[in-house]
Amino acid sequence: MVMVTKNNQKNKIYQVLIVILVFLIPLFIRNIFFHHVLIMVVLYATLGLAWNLMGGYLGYVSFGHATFFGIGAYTSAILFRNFGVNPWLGIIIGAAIAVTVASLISFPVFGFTLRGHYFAIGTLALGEISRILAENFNYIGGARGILIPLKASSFSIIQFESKLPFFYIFFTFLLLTLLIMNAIVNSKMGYYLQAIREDENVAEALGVNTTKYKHFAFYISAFIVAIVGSFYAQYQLYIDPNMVFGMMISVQMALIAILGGCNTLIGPIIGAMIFIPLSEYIRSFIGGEGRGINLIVLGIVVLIIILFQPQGVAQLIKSFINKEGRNNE
Amino acid sequence: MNNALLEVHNVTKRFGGLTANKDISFNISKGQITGLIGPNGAGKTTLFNLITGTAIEGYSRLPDEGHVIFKGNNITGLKPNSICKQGMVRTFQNSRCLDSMTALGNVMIGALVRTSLINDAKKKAVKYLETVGLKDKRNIISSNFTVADKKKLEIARALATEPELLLLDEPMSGLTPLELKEEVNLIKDINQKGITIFIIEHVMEALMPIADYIIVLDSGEKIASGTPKEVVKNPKVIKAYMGVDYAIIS
Amino acid sequence: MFFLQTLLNGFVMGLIYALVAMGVALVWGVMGIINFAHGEFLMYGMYISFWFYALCNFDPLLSVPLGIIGICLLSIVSYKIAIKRILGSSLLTTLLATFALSLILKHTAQYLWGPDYRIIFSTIVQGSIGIGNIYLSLNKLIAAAISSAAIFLLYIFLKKTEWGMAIQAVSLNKEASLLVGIKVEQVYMLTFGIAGATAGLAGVLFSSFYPVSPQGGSFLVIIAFTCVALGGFGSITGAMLGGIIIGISESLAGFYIGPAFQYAVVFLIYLLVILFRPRGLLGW
Repeated sequence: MVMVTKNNQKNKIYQVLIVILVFLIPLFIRNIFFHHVLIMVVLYATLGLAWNLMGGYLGYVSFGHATFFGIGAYTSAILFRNFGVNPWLGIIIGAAIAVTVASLISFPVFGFTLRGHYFAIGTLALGEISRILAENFNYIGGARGILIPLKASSFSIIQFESKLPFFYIFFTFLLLTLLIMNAIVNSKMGYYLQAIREDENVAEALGVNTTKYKHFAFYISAFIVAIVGSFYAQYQLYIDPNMVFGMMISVQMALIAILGGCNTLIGPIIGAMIFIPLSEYIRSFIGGEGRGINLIVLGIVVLIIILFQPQGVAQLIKSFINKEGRNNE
Repeated sequence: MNNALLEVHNVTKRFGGLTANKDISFNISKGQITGLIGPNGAGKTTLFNLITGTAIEGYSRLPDEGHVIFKGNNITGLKPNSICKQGMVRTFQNSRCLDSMTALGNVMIGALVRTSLINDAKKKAVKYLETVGLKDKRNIISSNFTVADKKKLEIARALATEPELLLLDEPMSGLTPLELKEEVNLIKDINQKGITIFIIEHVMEALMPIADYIIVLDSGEKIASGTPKEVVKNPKVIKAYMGVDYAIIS
Repeated sequence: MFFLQTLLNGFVMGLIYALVAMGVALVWGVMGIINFAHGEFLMYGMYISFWFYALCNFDPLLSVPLGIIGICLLSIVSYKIAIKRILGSSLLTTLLATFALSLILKHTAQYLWGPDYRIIFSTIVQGSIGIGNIYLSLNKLIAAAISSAAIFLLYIFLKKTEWGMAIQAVSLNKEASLLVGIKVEQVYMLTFGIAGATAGLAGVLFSSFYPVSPQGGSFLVIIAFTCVALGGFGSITGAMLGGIIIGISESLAGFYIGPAFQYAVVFLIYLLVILFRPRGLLGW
């Protein structure tokens, strides 16, 4: 028992140290592009965590989560741009709308009677419907997208001159999401979600209200994804239907989760740490010619990782740590 | 018959042209071990599915006719999780474990029906694992278990839901003689603790000695019921099985 | 009259969609893999047709055998390099691996030939044919006819030849097939090759009336998936049915609601069907 406690304490200290380190990094490395990459890593890590609640723990792979990302982005953007609504409020409203849409989809309309491949393609269809609707919705700018006006550098309206404050806000939200996910995973809901993933009929036979928990997971992930969408809009200051409703966003969420390992809590974070810098740096070094070589390279790297380590990188790290642990005993 | 924990009234289920269950009625008395036997394809598992509200691939969960009463409440058509909460739980024929979870995790799922606290559920799970003799293997991923251990795990998991009525679907299949003995003793133990048991089984020499009451199905109909001794002598039953030697029963 | 016209236009397109969908359905049914890169196979078929047109003045119809063979080879190479390794993996793994493959193929095309749209202007077959008040584009009609012939041949192959029946056997039960001595590995390769061939053929057919570009495959593959899911994963006939239904829906939606929302309606129809028949129309 003493050994276990020591390990737990050690772990917690490591965790706090890492958080402090992350807070300090951007202060020491003042490269603007690096800050941009950090911000994208943090945003996508959060998306990955939220997606993984459904994809990894519940086992329902969605390729349409961009729907909620876009709802969050457009809601807060339009409210701020057209009505002067404070973005913090806009974020909450966007998330609320996202959850409402999620409930409309899941209750009995979508019914969650879809499973596996049908669910994946169904959510894909949904994502595409959202994108097409947005492209043709002239009030929100249609295919041309919308610009968010720069008013002042201020925390209250989430606009800043430097990138740093963005990073800290987004990173704090990532930590919050991580805490929420950790709480869920170690709770009754967490166990139930995994049971549903393994065998829905058995779970039901053992008293699990599968419908209720499927919906919960769906709403929670939609909520968080929408918030990240709003953050994204405030950061980029320009959004269009392809950027926020496009299939790439949906697929990237899944990609990040699986690269890092969708059966671990921090898998998506690791996945984001691998995928996003790869994507951004390849783009900045090679992509300049506009011929898309960067995406070829990216595709090859992703393919290699998936082919040879399908359990994700987190699994690699876990086994490595386990081996080290055993060596030290 | 006021001791009836479960009442099945005129239950009928058709799958297209096939009548899997036809006008089946019986009662399960509290505290007893009741067996459900019959040749393959008689409709036993269908009956279990209907009683517990288990989803049937491609068809509705509900019986076409008839109703089921548990502890005086009509549970016809309720979902399995509601029925489980009321105190009836079933195991599955092919030992469906939650593969990627440990034995402990599996049993905790059962325990979580009665408590929302993880630590509580863990303690209860360990207790039930001990009852079936799997306590030492509790941290092993269940997909690695042998057939016999998986069956024990299923039972531990079902017990963790603290049922009054336990439905076992062919718990003896695929076991060696030694494992069979263990399994039979386990079932007797569980029954002695006050849990009513309803078993589908083919392994007669294991079932007959412990059952208080037997119901026999053939081609979807109930053809006989009574004590094991009565049923064994019933000509309809003998005919249905066509030559199975029942002389083994003492 | 417009209704009939639109309906027939849709039916004609539907037959071509059906060919694409059947390739996807075949791979899914036999190998359990949803191949995201199928659209890129199709796109390369389109480019084969285009380059033979641009450089050698081949009419697309001449490129039909070239497209078939070319993409069949491409798909077999893809199989050996990547697809082989993801057989039996989880849904997520196969989807993402084929997605990565599609990314590689798409951007290689973009690197080689640029992102611009190319159009094949003059084909041997041109204009429309009029039956009463209805005019059907001759190009599309011939494409639909060839597509139907290919579908028919595919059916005959699957039902009547030894290899075809081996493919059916593997799709029904891999273990049993192994036990009776079917070389499952070869069946997989064959299946993937056939799927590639259908994609190549469809690509060549599309090139006669559709602009050719690296992005050409991406959207078509989503339509193909929708056709297969509509018909039911696991059913080749279902995929064909799905293709025709989607073709007709797309056409009617485009005419009555407008081209902008055309595909939104198509996806909506898919979702509605799938609601009432969660396994698709004919799937299991």
